[in-house]
Amino acid sequence: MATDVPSLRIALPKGRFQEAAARLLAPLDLGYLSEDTRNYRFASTKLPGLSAKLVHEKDIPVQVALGHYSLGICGREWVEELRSKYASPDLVLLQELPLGQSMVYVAYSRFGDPSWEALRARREGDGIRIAGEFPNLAEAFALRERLRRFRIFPLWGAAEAYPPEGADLVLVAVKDEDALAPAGLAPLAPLLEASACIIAHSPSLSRRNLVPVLAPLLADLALRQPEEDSLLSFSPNGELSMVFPDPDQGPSDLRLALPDGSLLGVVSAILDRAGLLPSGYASPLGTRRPLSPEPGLHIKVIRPHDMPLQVANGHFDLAITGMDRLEEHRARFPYSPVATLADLGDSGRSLQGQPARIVAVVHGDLPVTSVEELRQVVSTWRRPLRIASEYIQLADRYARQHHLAPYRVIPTWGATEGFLPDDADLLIEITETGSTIARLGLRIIDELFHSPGRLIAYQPSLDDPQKGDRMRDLAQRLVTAREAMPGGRQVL
Amino acid sequence: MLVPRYRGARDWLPADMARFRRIEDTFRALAAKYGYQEVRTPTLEYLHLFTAAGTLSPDQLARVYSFLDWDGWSGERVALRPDGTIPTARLFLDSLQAGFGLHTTRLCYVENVFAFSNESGERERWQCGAELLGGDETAADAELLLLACQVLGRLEAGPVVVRLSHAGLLKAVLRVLDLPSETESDFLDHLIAGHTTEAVRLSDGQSEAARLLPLLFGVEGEGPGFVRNLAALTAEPWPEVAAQLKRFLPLAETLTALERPYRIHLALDRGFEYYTGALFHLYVGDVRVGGGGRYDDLLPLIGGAPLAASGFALYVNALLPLLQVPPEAEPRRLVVNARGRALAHAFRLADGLRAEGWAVTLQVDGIPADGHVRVVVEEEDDVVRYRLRDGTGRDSVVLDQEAVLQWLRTSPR
Repeated sequence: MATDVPSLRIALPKGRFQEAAARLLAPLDLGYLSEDTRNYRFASTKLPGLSAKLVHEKDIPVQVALGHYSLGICGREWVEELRSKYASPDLVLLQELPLGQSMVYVAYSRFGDPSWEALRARREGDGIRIAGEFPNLAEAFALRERLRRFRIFPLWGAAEAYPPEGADLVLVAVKDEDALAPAGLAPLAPLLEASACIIAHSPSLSRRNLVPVLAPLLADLALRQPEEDSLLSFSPNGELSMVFPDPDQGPSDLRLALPDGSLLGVVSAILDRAGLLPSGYASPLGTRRPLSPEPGLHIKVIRPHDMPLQVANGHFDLAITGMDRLEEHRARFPYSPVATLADLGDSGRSLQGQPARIVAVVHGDLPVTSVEELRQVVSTWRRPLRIASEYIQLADRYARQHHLAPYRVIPTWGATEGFLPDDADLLIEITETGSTIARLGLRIIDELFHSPGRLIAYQPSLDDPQKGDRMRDLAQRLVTAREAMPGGRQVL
Repeated sequence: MLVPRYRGARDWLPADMARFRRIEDTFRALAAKYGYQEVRTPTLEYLHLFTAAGTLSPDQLARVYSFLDWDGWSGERVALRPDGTIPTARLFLDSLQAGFGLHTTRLCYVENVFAFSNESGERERWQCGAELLGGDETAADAELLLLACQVLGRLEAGPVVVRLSHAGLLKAVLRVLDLPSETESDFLDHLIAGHTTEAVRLSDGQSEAARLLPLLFGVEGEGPGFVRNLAALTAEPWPEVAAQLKRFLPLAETLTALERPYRIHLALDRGFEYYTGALFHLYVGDVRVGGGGRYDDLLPLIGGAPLAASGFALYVNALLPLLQVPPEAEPRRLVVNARGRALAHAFRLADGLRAEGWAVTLQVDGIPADGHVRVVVEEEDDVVRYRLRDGTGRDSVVLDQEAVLQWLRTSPR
């Protein structure tokens, strides 16, 4: 295995398929091992010229289609999500792998309308609301079904939490149809079968010898047993997931969205101190509908990324999220009816952590220390500045405000640090200590803003006399609790 | 290309605009004589205007430019107008239907439409469209076809070939065959491509398909006799299809009586989703320069009451290369040259000349090489002189503006 592979790049998935891909590629000796690796870039010691990079799985089809990588490994659902809207001839699916088998379903609530026909008849006039992590597949479904009027709500996750109040249909990836019922969902239509797959940039496939890399991936394929993994978009939540708010809510009843993920710990602590910790919120079951300790307070757990849009649509009266997500939403929808009700201090990431900041980052090899210097350097280039970010709107606004033209924003789903310097020139990133940025040889050249935790509110609810007073009272309790915590800081 | 232009978009240069205006002016003038009133719909419409079944097909919808507006947090998408007919129907329902009564409404427009094209095709196209809402089916279809042909004739784009077909007939065939939805698309592709053998194969051996599909879609006809023949041949096995052919017959008879040549080719292209009756395609050589048809079901689909309707559009982008650049109008055009303190006098003179019907260009940086300068304004010691050139090399000098005008009125052009 001493074949020379000149400058061949492969995109490997960060997250659920990471370890399995590492095992498959072990013969290439990439030094790419486990989910806790802190590196993004790897080079093969067996195949000179072969390099690999860890990329968020959802970004891999785009990166391969653009030709940034000759090969990639990711879930097929992300390939189809891209191709359903942007049929790139440069992206080809080479082989499905016996890993992460699942099915993407269109589903609706078992606890709402008795049937899809009834739901459609009731809702189509206002627009069928379709939520999920696959907005392109959702749109293709809506067009194919000839839905007269529909609205797509792209989500970062937790789609199963939305029907029936926040969405009429959801797209979810599950192991099989049986996995839908425990989450309160009924299948409407299977959209596609998915599993991990190998994809290629078709010009690379046409012109280059990819066999040295493909060989270990394809070896003994027929003999491999399908592997279980954490592919499910959600976990069944048991009885708690079946608790729905009374549709005939009282006039002062409130709907509160709480965050999952990294914010869960700190928000639990604040709620606990405020006497508002719902039953099941911090449990290992990870319920999406924890029980509120207060009557008339209906709580749902969703991704903090999705909260501003959900609040803007009146699906929640209140939500706890980070200012980064609120600013991203406002940059896209400047007239959104989302108000900031309270600043929960630097609870954005962790109680002990330093304040979360949104920063502009370049690679250490780029000789700039400020955005002004970057602008001057970019003006000498014969190509656009490439800005990679999860915060598409903030990145776009930043480039406009600082006249970084010409530029292109590359949307990412995470692992953005790995984009520098090959696939991007500038990142708009969130960081606490900046240590990861420094360790990877990157440099912060600007700080956009601090990103404390925010209690956000639906403005029409805030203007409602009965709801508004209760919302302000809850806000005060949360702020008081936050102030009383170690390291607490209140910046109302 | 020094500064890249958006792919699929075009710049309209002065020569293009001269041709564009010629198309537009010819269309508008003739349409007005037929009683069509001009309207204009917004470039942006809600996407849902185009998504209902029977409006745009899923293939067409997949190429629509749609996006969330700055206040689009509800997920309601807006679209760059992909079609001229549907927004005009919406405009009619919104603003004109109340006064509709028993009358027909004739509307026309010159608008751009947008659709993604992956090839080298243009993504923004201009259309001259006419829509006739209400009225008798045959009379309306014939009127629209004649108007379209008359516009093309006035434009002298070349010999126009009219090809007729019928959406109702093809839909009736699909109903009779009752193909699985996954087969229907391939079946239509084969019919359109003229591969009737393949279409027959996809009809899965259904009785009469092997005999009738090649007759209906593989033969081209030229008159009402052809329609009568097909109606007779389909009457027994496929009465629903025969009924559509009989519905088509009066238009064929009317056009034949008017000595308007046409060809009947019943295999349609794919963009027939909202059409229900007669369809016509207009060609100059191999270039399709227009098309239209009857869409009786469209208004109910977008929220209105049932109303017979039909229309057509001429494709400006396709027509453009077929037209000659119109000769410039008589150039009552001159250049006034001035500099320094004489400039104000030159502006005043230019205004006076324009009021007399001249096109005047003010030249402030020397005499241009093409020798079109007719008037040079000079000022010296507070005395303004107008040096006049009549094109023969002789100069005259006058001292006031009225004298300039008098000289121009009498000098050779």
